[in-house]
Amino acid sequence: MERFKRRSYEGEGSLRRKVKLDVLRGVFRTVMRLARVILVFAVIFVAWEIISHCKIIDPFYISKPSAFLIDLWSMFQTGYIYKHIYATVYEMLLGLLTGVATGLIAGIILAYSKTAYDLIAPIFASINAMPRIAIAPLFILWFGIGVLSKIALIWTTVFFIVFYNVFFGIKNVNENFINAILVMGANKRQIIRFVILPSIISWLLASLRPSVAMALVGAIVGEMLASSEGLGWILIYATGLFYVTRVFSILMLLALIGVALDYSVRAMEKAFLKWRPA
Amino acid sequence: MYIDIRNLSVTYKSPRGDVEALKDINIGIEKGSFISVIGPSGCGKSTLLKVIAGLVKPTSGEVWIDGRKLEGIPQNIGFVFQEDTLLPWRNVLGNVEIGLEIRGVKKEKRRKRALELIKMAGLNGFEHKMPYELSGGMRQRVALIRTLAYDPEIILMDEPFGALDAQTRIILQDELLKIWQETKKTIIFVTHDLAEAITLSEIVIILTARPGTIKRIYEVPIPYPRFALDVRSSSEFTEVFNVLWKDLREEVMKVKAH
Repeated sequence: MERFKRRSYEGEGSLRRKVKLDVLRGVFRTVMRLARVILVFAVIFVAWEIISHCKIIDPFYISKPSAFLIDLWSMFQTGYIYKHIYATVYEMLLGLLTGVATGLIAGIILAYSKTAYDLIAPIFASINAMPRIAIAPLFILWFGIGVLSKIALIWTTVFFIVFYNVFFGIKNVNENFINAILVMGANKRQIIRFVILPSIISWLLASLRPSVAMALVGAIVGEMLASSEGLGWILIYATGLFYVTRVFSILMLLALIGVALDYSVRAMEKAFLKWRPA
Repeated sequence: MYIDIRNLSVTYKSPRGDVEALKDINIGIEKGSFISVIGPSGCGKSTLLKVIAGLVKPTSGEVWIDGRKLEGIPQNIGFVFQEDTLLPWRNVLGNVEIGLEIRGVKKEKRRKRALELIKMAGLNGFEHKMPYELSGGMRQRVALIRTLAYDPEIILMDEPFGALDAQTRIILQDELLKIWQETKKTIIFVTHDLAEAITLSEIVIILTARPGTIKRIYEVPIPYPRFALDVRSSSEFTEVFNVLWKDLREEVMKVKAH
């Protein structure tokens, strides 16, 4: 009923008022949602603090929010954490960039060349079926404990996500769209420009969210296996020292980074895919 | 004859055996006429249009358009599809312009033409809406004026109003009648709705059940200008409807018996 009302037109003035009201309502809803999230976390943290404080569970194992929040704060204060965040994010970005670029190119080639598909698809399928972490030790052997081995690890996950998305995206381009502009006299170049490229872009954007998530996993796992910096390295190092508070600090930080990245990719999707119903 | 279809047969090859869609079709269509093609589902009506548009190659037989044998996709042809084929990433204006853009018409010129047509179709105010924001009737209006934009001589229409509700259908039928009476394009209109075929066209062609052959070519004796609702309440309409319905019914029952 509400939707129906908003769609009907009842003159300029009331429409403008309605738009204003809609904006206000949107802001209000966002604030409420944020308040709800903060409330839930506050409850969890307070409970955690009490459980730890009263030694219901040994604080040695679970630390306590007051401790790790202060620890996190002090890592920023001293500047200790920046170099590690930088390392992890740097690996992620380079892994993403190479993975997306190569995945896109491979997707296009295999979608259009039957020979390439017949030759390469089985190889891709078998590599993709393998748990990627299993290759990580080999990458460390080949590329050392520096940035390169992490980029390689991230690349192996992102590449396949993007590749399969682009490949099936091209294969499923709506035949009717192509026919419709063919009868208007479109040539091959125009079909690519008006139909195929826009479809590919939408599929590529859709593959970005899982890619970013997997890139974070790849960076952390890579650092945990062998490295000298990065958030994953801190995790392993702190665990080795039974420094559980530090472990929880880093986990909180990773959660924040993950949410922030996902949020930005979603914003990007929204900006580029205005033509899709929300 | 402007469009001349000679001994046309189309057989689709498939792993489960060949399917004969059209068999031995002979039709001559004069320039500026409005032809409807009707028949039971699966009789090859859509295939006939796709052959004329050059999207499907005939297995045997020929199609001649304006004295030239059809090879590839003919120039100056428009196709309004049954499915929604507006490009979802382009707004109304962009969709209406696309035919002219393909022909390399300058931006200002094609924008002017598109805006004229949008106004004609009563879509002003919707120029910058995306296809998903439009109703089904609006989308088919855009599809129609997108075809008119580049001014093709022949317009092929494949059940363009099939998915619309009855009221919107009648409104769009009237708009189409008006456009045809003004522009005198050659229109070949495929439908499964006999009333629609009679309302709109000068000539109704009934196809048999698969494989589609011509069962009857019937000239509709109702004068133009026509208006959809008036036509339907006239006595001629009932007469024509009863005659054609007998033919059509036979073919529809054949499909059901299978």
